Amino acid sequence: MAREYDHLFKLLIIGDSGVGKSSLLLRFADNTFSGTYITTIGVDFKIRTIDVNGDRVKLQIWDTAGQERFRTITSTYYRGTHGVIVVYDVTSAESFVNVKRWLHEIDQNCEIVSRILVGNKNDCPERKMVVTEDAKSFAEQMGIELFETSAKENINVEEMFNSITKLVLQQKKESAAKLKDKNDAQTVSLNSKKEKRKSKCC
Amino acid sequence: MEPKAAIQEFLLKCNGHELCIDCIRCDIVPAWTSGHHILALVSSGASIEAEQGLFLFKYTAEILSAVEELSVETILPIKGDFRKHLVPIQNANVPSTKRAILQTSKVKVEIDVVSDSKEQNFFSRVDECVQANFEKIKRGISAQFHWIQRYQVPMPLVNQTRHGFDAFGMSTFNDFETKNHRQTVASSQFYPVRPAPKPPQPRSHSVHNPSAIQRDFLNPTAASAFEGGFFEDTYAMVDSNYATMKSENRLSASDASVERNPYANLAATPPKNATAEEEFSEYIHPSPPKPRQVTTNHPLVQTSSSSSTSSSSSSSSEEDGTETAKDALKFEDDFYPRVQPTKPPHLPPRPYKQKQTKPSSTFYMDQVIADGPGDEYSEVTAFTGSATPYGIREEVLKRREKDYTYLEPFRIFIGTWNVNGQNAAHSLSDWLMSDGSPPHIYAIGFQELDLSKEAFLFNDSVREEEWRVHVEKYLHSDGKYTLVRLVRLVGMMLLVYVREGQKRFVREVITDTVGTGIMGKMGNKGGVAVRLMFHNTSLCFINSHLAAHLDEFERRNQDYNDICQRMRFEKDDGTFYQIRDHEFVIWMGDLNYRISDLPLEVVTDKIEKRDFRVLLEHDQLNKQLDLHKVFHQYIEGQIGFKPTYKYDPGSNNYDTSEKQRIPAWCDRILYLGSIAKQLVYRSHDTLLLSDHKPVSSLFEVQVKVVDESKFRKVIEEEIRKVDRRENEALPQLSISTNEIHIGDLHFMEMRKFTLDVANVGQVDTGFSFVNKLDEKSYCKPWMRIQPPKGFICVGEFQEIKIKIEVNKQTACFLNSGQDKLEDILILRLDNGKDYYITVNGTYQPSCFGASIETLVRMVEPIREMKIEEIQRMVQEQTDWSEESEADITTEKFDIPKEIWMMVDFLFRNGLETEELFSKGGFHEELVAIRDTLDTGIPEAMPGSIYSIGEALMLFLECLREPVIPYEFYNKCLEASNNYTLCKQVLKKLPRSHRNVFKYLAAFIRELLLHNDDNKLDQKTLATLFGELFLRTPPSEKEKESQMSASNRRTLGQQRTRKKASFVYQFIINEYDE
Repeated sequence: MAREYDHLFKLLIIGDSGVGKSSLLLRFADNTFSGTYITTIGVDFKIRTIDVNGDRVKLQIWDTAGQERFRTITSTYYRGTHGVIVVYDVTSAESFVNVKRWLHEIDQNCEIVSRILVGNKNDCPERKMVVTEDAKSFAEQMGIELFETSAKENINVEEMFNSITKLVLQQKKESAAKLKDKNDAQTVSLNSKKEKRKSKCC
Repeated sequence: MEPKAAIQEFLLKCNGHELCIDCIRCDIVPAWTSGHHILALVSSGASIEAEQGLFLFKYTAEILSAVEELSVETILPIKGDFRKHLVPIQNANVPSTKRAILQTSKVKVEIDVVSDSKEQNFFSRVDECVQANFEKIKRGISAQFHWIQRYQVPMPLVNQTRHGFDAFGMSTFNDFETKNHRQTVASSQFYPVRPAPKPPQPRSHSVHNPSAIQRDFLNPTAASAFEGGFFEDTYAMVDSNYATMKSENRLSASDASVERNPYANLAATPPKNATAEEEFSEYIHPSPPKPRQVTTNHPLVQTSSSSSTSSSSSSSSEEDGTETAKDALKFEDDFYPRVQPTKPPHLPPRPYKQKQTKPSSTFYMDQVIADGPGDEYSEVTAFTGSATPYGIREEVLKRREKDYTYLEPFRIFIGTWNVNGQNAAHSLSDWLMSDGSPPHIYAIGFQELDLSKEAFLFNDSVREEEWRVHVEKYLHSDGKYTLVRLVRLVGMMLLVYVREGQKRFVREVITDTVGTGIMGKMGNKGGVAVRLMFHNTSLCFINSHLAAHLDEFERRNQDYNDICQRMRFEKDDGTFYQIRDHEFVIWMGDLNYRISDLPLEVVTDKIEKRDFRVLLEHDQLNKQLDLHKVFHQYIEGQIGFKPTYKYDPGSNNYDTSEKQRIPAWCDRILYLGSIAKQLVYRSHDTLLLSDHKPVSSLFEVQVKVVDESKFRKVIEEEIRKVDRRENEALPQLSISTNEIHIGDLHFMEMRKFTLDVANVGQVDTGFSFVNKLDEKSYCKPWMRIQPPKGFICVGEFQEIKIKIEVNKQTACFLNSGQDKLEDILILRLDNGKDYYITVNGTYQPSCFGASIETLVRMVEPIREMKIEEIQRMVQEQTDWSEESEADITTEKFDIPKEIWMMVDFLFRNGLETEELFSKGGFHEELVAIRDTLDTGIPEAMPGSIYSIGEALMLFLECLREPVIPYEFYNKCLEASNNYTLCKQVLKKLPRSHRNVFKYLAAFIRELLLHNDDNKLDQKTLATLFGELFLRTPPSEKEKESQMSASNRRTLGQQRTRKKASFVYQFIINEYDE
């Protein structure tokens, strides 16, 4: 059997309680949606393999508990994470306000990580509290990409996950390139040594 | 002699313009063979774009002293399919050794190299060459490696045949195997992709130097002996070893991944070559090389060694899998213990004769050259090949083939012609271009392409190129064609062409040849074949030339069977296809079946009248087909053409020679598989060159064509399926509750909870409670979990008991608000999934676990006060060193009223009671006492004297700071022998603490006044209260814990004595300020 994947990435979904983190994961991994709200008490993960420009990427997506009381515990899950999905609820201004805190938390726990901002529950215009423009300008200001999704209606979920995966992939390739440059530099020195050897030998 | 110079000289001697760039000496694992080897990197010419090859030389003498001692053992062209890696060999003695595994798709060499800087330098050079060649292939400039031909091994064949083999090579077969086992092992390290036996080819034969053909070579006896015995054996060995190596790979996954995966991946990667290259180079520099434990992971070998002794590989025709496997095992038997030489046994150099028994390398080179142009094609295809999706099993995709393929008709032209050794001449358009529209695929078979001895003995033919070029001139002019593959064995040649537009849909092109000629092995008769995948349909073309002569139809049947059995299209992973594994098989060629049992006149007459019915009835092939003796299930179209043999060359007249051969349909095309429709089946009389007429047929084949978008969709679906299965296979628990509400909890009060944890997932799982970040334990000290870890099978559940109790150790933290009755438990499953269980409740403050300072400030019972007030009081930490008047004013009592209440009770009721302090109280009474002290209700102290005695001790034990505060601990111990010093220390104590001490000391003295009744003595009381007053500080305890057990015990005893002594001072002396 051929190799299962080219890359394995760990993604983390964070955000206030009740914004739909688990629903996004469920939609993406199982393509299902459950209307009943079960608050996540713990940390769950699911996997999904996707294709990004011919690269097969296996995603291990961790869904965290959003409740404030678990905040200290959930911070441990940032370790080894390649990408973080910060979710707010477009029908809850408070959850949007808290995005800043979540972003701060990322900064405290991760060194290099790709981030993406997601306004979930974007399926009911009447109840929408966070205006797209506001979210957009905030995202721009923070230098993050914004996606407005609906796990319920399956809007933009796929695109959002694809986008964060691309970001992570890009980051990986960049760092690999850096590493390669480093190695190349070493190779050069080795080569020059070899040249000397050759002249002696012949 | 300097090896490099020797090699250079050798290369020059062979009439080459090659250059030895670099070389190292190496040892093939000594148990396999003795003798010394030199691995050299040889470049053809000096230009930058030069092709490079790795030459493995062997020198026969102990020390290389002359060029004559040097011989080529094997050659590996460094091309696209070249792989290399180095494995450090463990257990090897100094100097340390690495095993270099060098491999192309045809040849594999494993050698042990002494690892040093020279070796590093050499292999980094090899890496460079590999990369350079890889670049070339990427750019479409594929290397040819024809120059390597020059260095084919000059084998002293005659010697070989004379020693160890009889003329027919059969009788000594077994003998050979046992005697020369060891030597063969070495040679079988170079495994070809099952090459058909071919006549060996001496160096001198080469085009450059045709005059030097050794006469002995032309001795047919020698040659056939060669064929009959030795080679078959060698091949059996080679195959079995290969099989073993493969199984070895399977046994060790890590091994396999090092060895094959990156490359497989490389081949599968679409042409975005940046990554491909990356991975390729990753392959080249395996970092770090995983140690390949050749010796350890061979259960297969070990377990089966006893059973393998009986197997014999003497029967050359038995080629079925089990036989091969047995061979492999037998092989391993002797082989394995020697692979791991801790100290290489030094074998004496073998006698000269034995050294010659290494002809195999010739074949590999043959193989490389014979496949020449086609090889590169397949390599390039491999890089751009699209239809190898990874992540999904091939079988799964195969099963779903219908979902992503549709049928499309393609036309395949089949042509076969026995050209009777003639030069390519005259137009072939009547044959190859006889249809209106150009076919998509041409498969053209020739027989008797070259009747020269060179072709027969060395499989080398100038005709090959001549005819190929000629054929290409006459392929249908309306289509552009690319050669997919050329395969030739002596005079049998098969050319497969594909329309240029369809080129990218051809993949997995594999060829094989089988000789069934002289001694059943030679290539004068037999078959050559090409198999390939065209879109998603597998095709197999066989061109054969079966045994001649009218009466030999049974031999022809046998030849057919031999070809069927021995034709193996070996895949990269070591498995192989056989002819019948294909969806559409075409068998063409000069099958040589004749018309028998009819006199010549009748035959000629019928032919003239074109009445073929009777003739066909007498056709041997038809008869044999009816008898199911041959070509089982194959179909042949209706013959509507005249017999194609035997004509007077250059004419349309049947044989007029003396022999007066009866005409026959020697040249036939049969097919197997229901996906094709035969459109025409004909011969071409206008071609007069040969004594045969060419025959052709056109097929319309329903080929499964991949719908790219559907294919992607199917892959997507399959991947989702795999993912779903993986998600479902993640363990999952159901927990009866995520929250434990303790409610109000008092000191000394035990609460029990049960968590029901059920495994509702599809896999068994272990679980454990894990520590939160920066915490030392998975739960707070006032909680206990049983069991803290466990294992639950699917569908089962487990009770987890949780006990919560605040005792003397934990009370003060909760009392002071430093700790809260809150916790989050993390229940972690095997794969890292977590469940949280929150625990919370309210702790009811108690005088137990409070501090003396706080209690002396409290007029009311502790429970009457507000929590905030208590905490405020707690936080007003007294600064003992600078006790101020203000503090005194806030202190409402000299000593905590709770102490007074208990001591007063004992003073009034218990002074004369025996076993006070040693007899335990009752839990209920203790609880009642606690409540009385905490709430002030009822006013009178409840409980027995014993219970109150215990409560007093407990109270003192629980104090946040002991009666003698921790910071005075050491001073007290130091002063314990001297009353004056003790008094000085006591003076420094905070007032409330001093008061408590004085009060309790007075109480002790009072107790001793009644020692006649209560039987208490000074020592007992001093010891008891010493421990209570002078509680060992946590910092000291920590120090203790780092001591050895005996030291700890000694220290403990000393301390107990000192504590008691300190208290004793105040028992015998009445302290007064």
